[in-house]
Amino acid sequence: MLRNKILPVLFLIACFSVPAMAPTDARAENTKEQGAINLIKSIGNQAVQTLSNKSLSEKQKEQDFDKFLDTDFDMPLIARFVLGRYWRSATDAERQEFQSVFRNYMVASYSQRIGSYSGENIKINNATSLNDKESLVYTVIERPQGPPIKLDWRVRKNGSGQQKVIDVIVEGVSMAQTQRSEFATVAGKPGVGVPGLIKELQAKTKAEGGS
Amino acid sequence: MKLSLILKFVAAIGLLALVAGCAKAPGEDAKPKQVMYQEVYDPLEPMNRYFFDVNYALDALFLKPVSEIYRGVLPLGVRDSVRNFLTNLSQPIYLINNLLQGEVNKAGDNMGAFFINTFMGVGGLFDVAQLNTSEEDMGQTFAVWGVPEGPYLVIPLLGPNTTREAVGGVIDYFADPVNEIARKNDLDNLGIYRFVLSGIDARSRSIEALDEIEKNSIDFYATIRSLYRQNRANLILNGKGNPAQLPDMTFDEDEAPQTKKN
Repeated sequence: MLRNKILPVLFLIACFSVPAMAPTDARAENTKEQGAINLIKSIGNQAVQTLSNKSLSEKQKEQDFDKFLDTDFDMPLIARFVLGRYWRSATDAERQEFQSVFRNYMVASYSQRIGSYSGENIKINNATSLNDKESLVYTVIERPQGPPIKLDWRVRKNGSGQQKVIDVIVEGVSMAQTQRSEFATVAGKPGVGVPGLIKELQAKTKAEGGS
Repeated sequence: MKLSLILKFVAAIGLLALVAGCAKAPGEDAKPKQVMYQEVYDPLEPMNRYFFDVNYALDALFLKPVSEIYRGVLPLGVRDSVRNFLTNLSQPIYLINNLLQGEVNKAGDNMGAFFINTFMGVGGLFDVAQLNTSEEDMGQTFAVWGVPEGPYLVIPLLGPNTTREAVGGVIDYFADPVNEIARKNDLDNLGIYRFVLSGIDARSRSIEALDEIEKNSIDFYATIRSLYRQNRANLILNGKGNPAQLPDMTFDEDEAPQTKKN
């Protein structure tokens, strides 16, 4: 008897507590950290969906990844960052060429890894604010074999208010910083410079089967 | 015998690096240049590249094939036990370093893990304690004390290092209580066996990762150098990196990237 009375009450509490909690969620929705979390959530979901979809060919998966890179990553900003101090000395034409070559290079190196997907999943933990435009989203890649990998996503609001990924930090190692260091070393060799760096990136992209 | 030769060699290179490091100092005027300088402090690059190539060849000839066989022949459970055993032998030196770094709680974990795994985990073959102790070496201790890392250094056989890490490694080798006990019991080479086995274990777990990094980089040496230094920084901070230390990716808005939005 008692149970019969309690159950509807619990049900009612449950019904009301959900909308009661909703406003706080809505408020969190407005902060840039929550926006960044949502962005990574959507990237993670789409990536896992694409990768685990057996009806898609490798080529189709690659195309999906091209799309992520262009819509969810601030490629022009990343390209500018990884060129480091050589950005200043580069001509406008070199800058534009570098940005497009860098994008193709990234696409080629990421699409290589598509085939090696083996059931990894992404778990989003939380996010922290870095400054008024940027936040860092902490995630963990859970693997069917081996220990989980710590992956932090640096997200930045661009001029038009869209949040985009600008760096990925794997176990404390920043991909953008690694590339900047590598590119600066290549461009700093005597007689290489930005044009030489562009050529090397093009050759690498070609070797990997990209455009 | 051989070991003392290697150690002398390491010490000589360390000294050489220190001298070379003191000889050059970054100019005060050029700011962007100075940032790069601090990030990639590699005044011995030609020599480092030479030894990097030597190590690469040695890896291709010995370490990589041996690691592949090791991984192919032994099942994961056995390999995990090997790693647990090696980690357990290192707990005393981790404990010493944690104490020197003022990490008393972590030192307690080292002590607990060592005794629990030694007595309940069949001499350390099984990680019963599950305390997730992290690797702590003298290079990290020096870093906590504020010693600068010094120039980047690629050492034959040992691979990427900085002057600080190389000196720390030598101290670890001699301060390690397990090596000390082994020496007193006529097992002089135990330290070398541990080192070699740890190398094979680590290499067998990074075959694909390293292949991929090599394949995707246009300058493998520079990529490894950057990865090594960032990874060391992460280890020194015990994985609790301060987000404020991330590189600045802001550009003046008026100088924003020139490409038009598609």
